[in-house]
Amino acid sequence: MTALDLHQQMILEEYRDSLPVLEQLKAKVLETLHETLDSSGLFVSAIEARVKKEKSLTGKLALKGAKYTRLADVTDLVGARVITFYTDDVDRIASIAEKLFDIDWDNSVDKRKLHQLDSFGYNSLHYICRMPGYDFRFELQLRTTLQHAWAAINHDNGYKSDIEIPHEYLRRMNRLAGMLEMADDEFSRIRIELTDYRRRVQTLVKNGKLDDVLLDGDTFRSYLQAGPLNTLNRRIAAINQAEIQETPLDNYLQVLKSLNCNTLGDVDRLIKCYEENAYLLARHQLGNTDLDIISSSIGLQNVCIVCILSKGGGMIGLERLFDTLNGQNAQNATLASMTYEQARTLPFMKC
Amino acid sequence: MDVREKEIVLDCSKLEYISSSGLRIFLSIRKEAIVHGCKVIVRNMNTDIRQVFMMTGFISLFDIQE
Repeated sequence: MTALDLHQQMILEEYRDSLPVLEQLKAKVLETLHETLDSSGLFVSAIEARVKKEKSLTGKLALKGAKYTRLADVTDLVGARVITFYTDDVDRIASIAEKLFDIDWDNSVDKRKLHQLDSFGYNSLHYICRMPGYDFRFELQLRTTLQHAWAAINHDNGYKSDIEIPHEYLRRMNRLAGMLEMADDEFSRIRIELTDYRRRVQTLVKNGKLDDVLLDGDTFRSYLQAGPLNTLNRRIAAINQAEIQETPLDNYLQVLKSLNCNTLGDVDRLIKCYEENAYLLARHQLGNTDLDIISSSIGLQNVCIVCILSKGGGMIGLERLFDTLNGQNAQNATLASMTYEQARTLPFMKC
Repeated sequence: MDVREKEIVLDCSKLEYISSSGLRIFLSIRKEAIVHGCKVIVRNMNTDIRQVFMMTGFISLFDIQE
């Protein structure tokens, strides 16, 4: 048990009396951070908070007791932490925090800026903040997931201060910190480049330069945003006055690649080439039913079916298509056979 | 957080026919399941019903098993 003098014991007693207020402050900080980050569209790995445990405060008072004249002088009674995916989000959230809370600049530390040229280690931004309406300050830590992993593992080393840490352990942890810092920077760079790439693709799609855009998940989504299948889907829906249910088309990417589509231009030509027969197939299938709900994937599905059959892919080609779309399943062969039979009498099969 | 994957299994072994209303029920179940992080598995669907799902374009929305 750590021995405290009378003054420190009084601070500890004040802490016990203040616990309900501290818990309230913690909840308020968490609520404010969650609400603000949600509405700003910033996705973070975690937002967490805690009230300092009595054991931890006792240790702190025993170590630095003379520094505190009253409980409110302890700045980390409530601690909050936002763990981000990207380093640049640390600065964005710091800027948000500056607007949300009163920052005690004298006690706040940007440990990222304290680094010497030849040293690596604990990177984190610590703000001492005050929430309007509360006497107690709280500490807000902002760091990336990699910084957090490094700090958590380093904290778990069993040593109480840097002096006690064996030189070899410190050297290896610092080596890791340097590597993680590079990884953090690389993640941020990748995000920036990906955003630029998506912007470029959107511009090319908008300007109709589809042959310049290679087909991948991102470019396919950009292309679909322009609604190239809307007319076909609406024509199919009109057969039974059906409602169109929006469904994702991500699983068609693989199908389109297997149909030799390498660029968005190839996809666009494929749709234009087969959309009329895709409509005829839908009319043939749905015309004598009362099904008045269809998926927005129906147009592309029928375009792919007609393309396969027109190129002589037959039942095996259809089975492969259904295996890709529905997952491998014994009944896909039956489905392929039924679809083939339905389409057999249509004009495009007689060419 | 509970990370166990939850599944809703729809056994269609006694389902002989499906209309648009039936399709809407399947879609509602799927929509609700997504909200709750559940996966919908459809089992024992006969060929006629499977064909309705195919003709309407909904087949790839569900995990259809034998």
